[in-house]
This record gives sequence, C-alpha cells and structure tokens, in this order.
Amino acid sequence: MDTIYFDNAATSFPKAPGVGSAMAELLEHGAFNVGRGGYEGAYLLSARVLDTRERLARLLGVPEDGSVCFTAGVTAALNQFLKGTLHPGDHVIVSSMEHNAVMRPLRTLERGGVAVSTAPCNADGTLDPQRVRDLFRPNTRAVVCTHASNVCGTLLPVEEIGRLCRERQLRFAVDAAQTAGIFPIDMAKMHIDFLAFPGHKGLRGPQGVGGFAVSAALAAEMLPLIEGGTGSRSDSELQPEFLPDRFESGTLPLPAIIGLRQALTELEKTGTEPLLARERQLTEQFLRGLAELPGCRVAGIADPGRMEERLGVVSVDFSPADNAMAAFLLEQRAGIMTRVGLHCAPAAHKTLGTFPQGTVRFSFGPENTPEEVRQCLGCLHDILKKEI
Amino acid sequence: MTAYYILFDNHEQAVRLHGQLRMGGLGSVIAPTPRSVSVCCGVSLMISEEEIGAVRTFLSHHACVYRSVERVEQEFNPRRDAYC
Repeated sequence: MDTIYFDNAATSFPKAPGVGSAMAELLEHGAFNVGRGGYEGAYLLSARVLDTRERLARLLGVPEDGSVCFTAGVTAALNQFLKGTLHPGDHVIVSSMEHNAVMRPLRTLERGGVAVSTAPCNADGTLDPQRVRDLFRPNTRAVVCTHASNVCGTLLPVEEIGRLCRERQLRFAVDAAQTAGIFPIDMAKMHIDFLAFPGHKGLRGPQGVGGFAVSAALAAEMLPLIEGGTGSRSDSELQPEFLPDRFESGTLPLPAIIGLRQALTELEKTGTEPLLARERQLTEQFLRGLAELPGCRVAGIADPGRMEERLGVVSVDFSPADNAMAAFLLEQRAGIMTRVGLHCAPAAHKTLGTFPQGTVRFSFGPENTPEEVRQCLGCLHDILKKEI
Repeated sequence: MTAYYILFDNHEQAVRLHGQLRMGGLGSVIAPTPRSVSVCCGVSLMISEEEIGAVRTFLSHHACVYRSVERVEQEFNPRRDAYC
C-alpha cells in the first residue's frame, strides 16, 4: 500500500533533496571537528558551518549585530532563552497557544519565583495584541509567543506584539517551530530579540539540529545554560563572552548542520513564497472537503477564505468518536500518516475547545499533492460513514 | 623567517576574514596559532611578510573582526619532531 505523509508539523518528510547524501558524504569522507583540529579539513568544514549560519541569518532577517547559535533543536533553544533570561521576581507573558517546550520550563521557573501570565487567544487560535498589552506590569521582562500554532496552524500577530515589546523595552522571544522555512520572518522588522527554530521541520533538514537567532543586546544579558569547551580562549576557565561560543560548548552536531546547509541551498532556489502558496492551496482544498463531511469539526480557522491567517496544519475533532480510532483507520485503510492527541500543547487545545479528547492533526508539506488530499478526503468519507 | 599572524577570538572569525581577504585578492593561510603569541588554542591567519602591508591596509578599510596582528620570527627546526 502506498503511504501519504501528513505529519510535516512533527518533522518534514521527505527531507530536501540531497540532505541525506550531504550528511553521508561528510561522515564517509571527513567528519572532522571544527574549532579544534589544526588542519585544512577542519578549516574547510568550519567554513561550511559558518556559511550555514550566514544563510540562516539572511533567511531570518537577523539584525546586523545579531548572531545565529546552534542547539540540539528548538526545545533546547527555548529553554536557553527562558532559563537564561528570567529570574525570580520577573514577570513573563505568553499566549494561550504555546507548546510545552515553552510551558514546561515556565512552570518550573514559576516554582522558583517567576510570575507567568497568559494572554487568552480566541477560540480559533487568533490573538488580539491588546490582550498582551493588558497584562503588562512594571516587572514584566519578556513576552514569549509562538509564531504559528502547532495544533491548528493559526498565525499569531508577532509583528504587532514585537512593536508593543519594543515600546516597553521588553524582551520578545518567538517560537518559530512551525514557520521557519515556510513563512517569511524578519527579526529586525518584527522586533524579535530571540527566535528559536528547528532545522528539521519547515527548513527540511535532518533531526538533531536547530538553534536560535539572538540580538546582541539580549545575548549579552542571557546566561548560557551549558558551559564548557569551545575551542577558543582555552587558557581561561571562564566561558567566553563572544558569540556564538558563549552558547555553543561541546562539539556541534556537524553532520546535521551540513544536512541543514544542503536544505537551505534547496530553499534558496525557490524562496518560501511558492512553498507557502502550495501548502495553503492544499489546506484550502482540505478544508472545503471537510466542510462537506458530517461528523467532524475543524479546530481553529475552518473558513477556507481565511488562508492568509494560517499555515497548512489542520486539526480535526471526530468526537464523540475516538480520535485515535480515526487516525488508526486512516493509516490502516489508506496509509495516511497523521498525529493524534494533544500535540504537546494542552493550553492550545483548551483554547480551541478540544481538551482532553485532542484532535487528529493533518500537516502538509511541499511534496504533498492535491491527489493525496483528495484520497484522504475520500478515506475520511468512508470511515465516517461506516466505521466510527 | 618573519611571518605575521592575525589572531581571533574563535575559528569562524578566522574563516570569515580568510574569505574576505581572498575576495580582496590577498593571500592568507589558516594555521594553528603559534604558542609564542597566544596561549589560546585557536586558529590564526598566517600572512607573508610581502603581503602584510596590503593586508593591514585592507583591515583598516573594511569591517573585519579580529583581535590583533602579531609578528613572529619563526625558527622552524626541520628536525624538531625527529626523535631517533
């Protein structure tokens, strides 16, 4: 049976052309270390890592004095911001659509004396920036906001929130887990101080690498969570202050970075615009088809006329039938791969009215086709009519 | 032999300047930092005596990130690593 991959919000598949072979070539023919080895192979690899950083900086609109630092992924990056920036007595504001990559570190910080407020989003996941402004306090230090919901694809107004933060001189951190490589991002224009990104989702690189882009001002005040060898200033037992070394101790995930570099090369050939347009085309087709099916409800923005407000992540609630059974039958009947449950975002599901039953999430990528969406709708039709 | 070394905080700064100099038509060689000029274990750019003047001019006219330029009198003993 052929399969249909609709789980690109979890990780992209297939990866961008050449990612696997670029990584294999490195591992087979020169997986040296950078910043350590004193020989040409290490220097050449170092140049490729630097090139990857510079490509990311261009893609994400990183300010001239900002930097890109690599981490194991977007979760590690968000932990770096939250635990490196917030201190007892600080107040932080989040949206009600945040992933647990934000909420779990914050709940830990809360026990240590950081106050957390949640700006309530609407039932479709949208957010009025005024709800954020209403929560400002004298001790508010930062606002953290997802760029787009990993549950329902709704975009949040980061540029407007960024403007509010800049007016108040607050630090603004954005979780770009679902948007980096898909939706245009301009850190400088959006007044973003910290942007966390995964390498393996919209950028279509391998798992194992992500990172953050950070403004120089924030980098200077943010404490590194991990300290150790950097290959620089080895005469000192103090962590370097300069970037990226301040936040990059230990050996980098070099094969993953080289794979990500190849993915960026592919992305630069087209830019994000046609990829986003295709994703939205598939989403619109899917939403129109779902509207004709009884027994399912779209969580978030269901109107196919509101594509500008969302990405290609669609959550469907089949309750009172069991959503897990719906996902199981989709795979059994037609090889359709989805993700069912709460998607590590209980707050978002509460906002959308789908807690605790969760949803079946369909997330499209650039390799998906209208025919696959048509097949999925047909399978859903059959399942809803006969089996659940 | 006299050589000049441009020192950096980290290896990526060296790689970046290496590329900038190359674009400017100037030669440099990425090399381990001589222990005599820094106890930091990083890499440096080695510049020949013939080109150091042009490189200094380049550095003063471009936005280049580096720590310092050091002159080194190299007394390389070809038998240094011969133990038998």
